[in-house]
Amino acid sequence: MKPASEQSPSTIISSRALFWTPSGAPVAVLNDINLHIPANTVTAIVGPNGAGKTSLLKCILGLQTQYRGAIQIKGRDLKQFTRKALAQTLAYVSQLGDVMANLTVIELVQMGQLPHSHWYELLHRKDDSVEQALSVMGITQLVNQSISSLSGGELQRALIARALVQKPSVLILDEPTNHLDVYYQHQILHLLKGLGISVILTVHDLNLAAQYCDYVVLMHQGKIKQQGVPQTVFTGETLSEVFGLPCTVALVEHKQRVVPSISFHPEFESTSTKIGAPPQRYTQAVSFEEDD
Amino acid sequence: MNNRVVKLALIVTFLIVISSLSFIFSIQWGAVKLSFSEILNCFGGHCGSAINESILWQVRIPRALMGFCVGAGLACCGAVLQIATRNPLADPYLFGIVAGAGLGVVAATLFFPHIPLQLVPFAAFAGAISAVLLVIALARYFFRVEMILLAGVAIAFMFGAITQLLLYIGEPFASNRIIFWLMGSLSSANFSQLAVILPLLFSALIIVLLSHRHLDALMLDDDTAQTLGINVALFRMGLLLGSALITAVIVAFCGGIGFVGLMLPHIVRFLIGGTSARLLIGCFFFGGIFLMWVDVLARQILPGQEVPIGIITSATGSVFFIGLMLQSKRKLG
Repeated sequence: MKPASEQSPSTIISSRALFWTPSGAPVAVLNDINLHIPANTVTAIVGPNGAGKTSLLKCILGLQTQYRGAIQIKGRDLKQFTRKALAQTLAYVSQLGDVMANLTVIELVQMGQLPHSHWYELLHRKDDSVEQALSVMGITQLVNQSISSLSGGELQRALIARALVQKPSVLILDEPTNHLDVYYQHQILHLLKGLGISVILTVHDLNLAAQYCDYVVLMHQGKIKQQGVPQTVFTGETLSEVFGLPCTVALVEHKQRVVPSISFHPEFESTSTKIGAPPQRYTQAVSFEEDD
Repeated sequence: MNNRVVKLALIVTFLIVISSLSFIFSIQWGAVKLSFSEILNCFGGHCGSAINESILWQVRIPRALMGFCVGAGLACCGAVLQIATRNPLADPYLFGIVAGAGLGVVAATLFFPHIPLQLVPFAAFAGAISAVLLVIALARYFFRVEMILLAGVAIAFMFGAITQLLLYIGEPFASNRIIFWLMGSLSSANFSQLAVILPLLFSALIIVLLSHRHLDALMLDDDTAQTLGINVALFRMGLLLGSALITAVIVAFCGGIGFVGLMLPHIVRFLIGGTSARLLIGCFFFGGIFLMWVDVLARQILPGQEVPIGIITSATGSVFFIGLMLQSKRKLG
């Protein structure tokens, strides 16, 4: 395992020898995680299903506390944070699911004020944070709509606005592009990139990660396979090993940046001549996955 | 902010006025109809007859107040539990409280045949609380929200089975008592019961309203609520125990009045929206007003006798429930 390929000026979140095994599970879901996430970047955590991406997020968020090892946020140990201080530092947007609540957009977004309120403050404060978050997410015109009437992309933006009202140093999102069409996937990532705060997200689409993220953490079977800038992490060899599919990576130029463009060449029916990895490797990798 | 405070104050004033009018109207009706001027005279201390005075002060007024408290309490508990479990079908009886209270009453009647009537509520309360504790213990063991609902169903069946066994091997006299009690009634309402339920209800309402923003956060998902700084497990346990306590007291005094706790929150959510503050204030007044009126119906629907109030709420409730299912089916397409 290689450490971060370049030493960033400031690290917002790091972990040292982080292990987590769910009670009753035979193998560790997180196995010796040494993370260095640079500040003010958009970081993607990628990897196959069951690689431990969501578990890692839950440990960072303080939702899972039974881990061994240490997690530091802004240079301070996670376990030293009070609930309120943590909620003022980290904000979380969970996977888009059915929201049953019959709330309006403004009522949803105002929830983000909670970590900055005292218990006796019965009503929501009128301050700029809510309006700012709404306008950054481009949903000012939707404030009085019921969230059940929103499209997937609009709801996701409202949920992110709610998190932004927490004024976090780090915004953490679990698969924010899930259930969204291509347009909204790009829109959400474009908006996240423009926020100017540290953003950590898990994502399945590697090309989206390559295009929008400054830093990627590639996970495989509970370990960090590699972390660094997309060009160094996303190589055909590494990705075909991790995902168990032959893979080629081309470097393309996008907005004056060199961005890896990833394509997989599965061999389920017909064989292609352009396959980078030999078929044996592919079969091996798949059976490896099933043991997981 | 001022604007919203004014609006809220106006709505609450309006609901208080409607509640007061409903109260005055409901105490006019019964076996003896009292006119509005008679009631006013009685309030002024110049009752026309001693009988009317005792009807008013010893029967009608405590009964109407009790109706309001029971309706308000059940509706608010239902609303809180629907949020706490994120399940639209949760209601105050989800812990097997009615079954537990029923078992308490039957066991007390069978094992202590000469138990004074005033002690029956204590037996019911003991039964209800033991059901709640069993459910919470089971749910804590599994540590999942859905488990609370399942454990509640299981405990309700278990207590129901024991009750039926006791009734089957016991004396027939006890079953009369238990059946009437299970159907629910406000007929035994008195001021000493109100002295228990009023402070409990108001203090619980104030506490829940103070934490209405935490309740709102619970509407999303547990992880989000937790990352907003809420100790979700502790908060939820408090909500469950508080609701269970209030419901157990209500059930001990008035028996099983079904469906109020399930249907009222849905009506209120439909009428005035979904934030927990509005939901709770709405449930408090609508629940109270609804049950006062249902009690008027219960006294009037059959001439010369009283229909147990639980029959009317369950009948209207089931029709509403079917409507709700049809509507959600239409929404799903």
